[in-house]
Amino acid sequence: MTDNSKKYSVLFVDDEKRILTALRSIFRREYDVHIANSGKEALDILANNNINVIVSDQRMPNMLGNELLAEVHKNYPNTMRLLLTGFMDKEAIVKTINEGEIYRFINKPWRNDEIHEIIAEAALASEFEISHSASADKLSATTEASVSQASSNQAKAQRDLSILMMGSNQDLRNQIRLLCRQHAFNIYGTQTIPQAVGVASAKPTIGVAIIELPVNPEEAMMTINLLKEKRPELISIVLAEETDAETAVELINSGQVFRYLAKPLETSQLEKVIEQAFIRHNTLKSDIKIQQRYKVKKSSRTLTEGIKSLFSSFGLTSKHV
Amino acid sequence: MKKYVISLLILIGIGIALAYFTIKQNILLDDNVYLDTTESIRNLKLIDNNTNLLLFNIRHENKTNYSDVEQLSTDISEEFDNLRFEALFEEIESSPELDTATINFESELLEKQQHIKEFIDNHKNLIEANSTFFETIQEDSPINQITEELGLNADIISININFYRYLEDNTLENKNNLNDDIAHIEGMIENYTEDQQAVIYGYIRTLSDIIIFSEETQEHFALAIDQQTNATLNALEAAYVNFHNSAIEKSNTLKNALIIYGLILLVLLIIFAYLLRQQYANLEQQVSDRTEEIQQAYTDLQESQEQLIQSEKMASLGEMVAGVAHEINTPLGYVNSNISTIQLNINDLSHIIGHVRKIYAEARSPNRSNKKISSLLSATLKSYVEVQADEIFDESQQLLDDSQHGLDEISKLVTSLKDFSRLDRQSTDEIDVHDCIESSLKIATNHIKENQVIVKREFSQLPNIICTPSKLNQLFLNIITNASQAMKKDGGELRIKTQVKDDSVIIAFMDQGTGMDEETMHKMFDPFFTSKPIGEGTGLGMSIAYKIVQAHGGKIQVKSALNKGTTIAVQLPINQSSDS
Repeated sequence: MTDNSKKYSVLFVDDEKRILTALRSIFRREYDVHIANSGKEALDILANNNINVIVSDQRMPNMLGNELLAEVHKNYPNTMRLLLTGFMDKEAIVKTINEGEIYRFINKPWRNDEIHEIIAEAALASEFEISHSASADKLSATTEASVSQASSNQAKAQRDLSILMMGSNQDLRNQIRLLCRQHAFNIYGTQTIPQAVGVASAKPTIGVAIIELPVNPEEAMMTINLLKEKRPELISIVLAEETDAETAVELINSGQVFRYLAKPLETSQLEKVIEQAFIRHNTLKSDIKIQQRYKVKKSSRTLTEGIKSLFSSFGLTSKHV
Repeated sequence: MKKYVISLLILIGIGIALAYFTIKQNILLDDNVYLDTTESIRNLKLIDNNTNLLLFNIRHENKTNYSDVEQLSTDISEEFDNLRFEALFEEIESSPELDTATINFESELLEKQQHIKEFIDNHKNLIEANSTFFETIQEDSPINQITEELGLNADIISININFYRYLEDNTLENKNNLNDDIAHIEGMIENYTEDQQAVIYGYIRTLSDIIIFSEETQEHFALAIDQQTNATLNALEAAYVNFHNSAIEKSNTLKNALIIYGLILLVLLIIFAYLLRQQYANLEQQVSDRTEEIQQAYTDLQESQEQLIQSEKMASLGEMVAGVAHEINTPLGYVNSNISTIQLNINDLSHIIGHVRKIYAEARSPNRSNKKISSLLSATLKSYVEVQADEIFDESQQLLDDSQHGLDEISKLVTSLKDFSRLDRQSTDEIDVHDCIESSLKIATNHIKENQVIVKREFSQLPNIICTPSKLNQLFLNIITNASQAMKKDGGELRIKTQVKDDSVIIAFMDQGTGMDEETMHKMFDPFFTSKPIGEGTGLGMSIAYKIVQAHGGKIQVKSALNKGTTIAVQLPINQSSDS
């Protein structure tokens, strides 16, 4: 509780002053707390201060939370972004994932110890700054950089990029296969969750996982969680028939999913997303510390437990693990 | 059905054909025609017999009424022509037997007439020759004188006798005898004078003329009589009768066919009638089935409409609950958090209190030590500074105030929920419209905030009106919600203006939203019409609003301009008790 401990600065944004008062009261002891009454005010503070963590309410007049966080993502990529939400606006939540690349969603009303823990993690993660070059580089450039030590040629490097695909929609599979052929990506198509986890563990070249959300999102969530724990540098893209707020929150908090998209997708859109995913993947691979920034909430179960329950649900033996 | 029509047409065709042939056949069978024809044939026979009779008279009694014969000949030709070209014309055309019989008779008749003509000519000549002969054998005639002179009496007498005999009975023997006699005279003739020879030759010529004419007459007579006119007439008659009989037979066959046709028709009609009856029965069954189905469908529809209205109610209730929940969430959030923080603060403050308690204990102790109190006091002060007690105290005060405020907010929301639902009041009540508007606005806070709507109230003094407040709240909420959603894009002002006009109050909601085009405006009160994306509206909201206004005996008016906004004016009568 010394000044020394206030090494992180946190910015809270809400149009309700009492929320800000409450939050400040919680964190003033450990953090350098800034508060803003609107998006515009928040951007002013960001311009003049080094902010490690920003926590914004979604619904504010003039500038919505997801808009603010998208702006922050663009201009202050090292600031960890969190959204305070009441599960109301699924559109905003999905946008926050895809445009704000958010670290966590915090439910309202929150529990003080919980929010404490989340902010502490976020503050810690903010230390591992993304170097300017890594975040801005194009795919080819990063690829070159990442494989330079292996002194291979570029084409081989390109081929070393693999995509894990999970889902049963034939059209989607064809679309992705075609895209991969055009870009010379390897593709591993899997049908079931155990298959996907197995392949992801066995093939280190897999950098991106495209997961078609099945009927039971809980299982998919567990898969993503498992993948994240096993391969923290693996980037997941989730495709769903229909986006859903609760799933989206869960996907971020437990899976740090890179994108949450509604089907059907235009090829150009998918292409762009995959490219961005590979950039992120390479950033994570090249600097393991940065993976901290994309840490997920700890699964309530242990990893082996999770896998066991998964495998038993598919009637498979554990030898695949 | 088509096959019935075709078979019916075929039956009708057969019927018409049968009737046509029967009628045609019956015309041929006309009794008058039959009688005329048979009479004509009898006439022909009669005339033919008369002709024969006349011919006999002429031949044997040397009558010279030739004109009678000619008359009869003309008659028979006329009669025959009548028969052939009028009475029997069609029959002859249609029957070859009859035709042959007619032709046979005609040729016989023509030949007979030819013979009669020859007969009459020869008979005239014969009569003339006879008179010449009688002149020749007068007592003082040259031949008698010569016979006397030459003593040929016996020969002449013999010739005369043989001549008469031959005339009486012209057998070949008599003829030979006569010829022998004539040859005898001729043998002697060279002895006579030329004059005598001439007279004898004249005599012999007259004789031979008579013989020739007589023979010719006899021959043609016989031929005329022998002509088969009668037989051919009989044949004709027989052919005609035959024809007539066959016609009768045909006619009878046709009549039988007609009867059979009639019977078949009757049977078919009975079958048709039976089928028709069955179909009718079927139809009746079908109609009753369909009616039942339609009834069922109607009931289902009514039920499903009720369900839809119910689900619309549930949906708007859900939306309302979600909105209110969200509104409660914010104060709940900070009240919750504040209590935890105050807990922490109290923990901090409890250090100081602990120190104070120790001082108090020390002070009350019988053997108190001032030094100890002093050190305790400095520890207390240190602790006071360390925990920033003033700050914590002020902060706690602030947090408590905020929490109080938050709880007030929550209870206000709960009150407005209660006001809105009006479950605790009687259904029809005398109320202030402004209260309804306020509680609806409170309930709609979420929509209003979400769409960044600023509400401006332009209320004037209103009398209380009798209405169903819960319905009125629903009406206002629907309008406010729609207005807020219309301003989703850029936010805007929602002006709510109330005024009294005559016997009613007018509540106008003026938004600055997207507005509606003509078409949408026409349909906006239709059930299930919605301009919202699929899945976001049931399309019943405004329809229910309309019903509510109607139930209150009021009016609802809409003005709208695309991209400028919509004004919805609700007019409610002041003294109108609602019946719903």
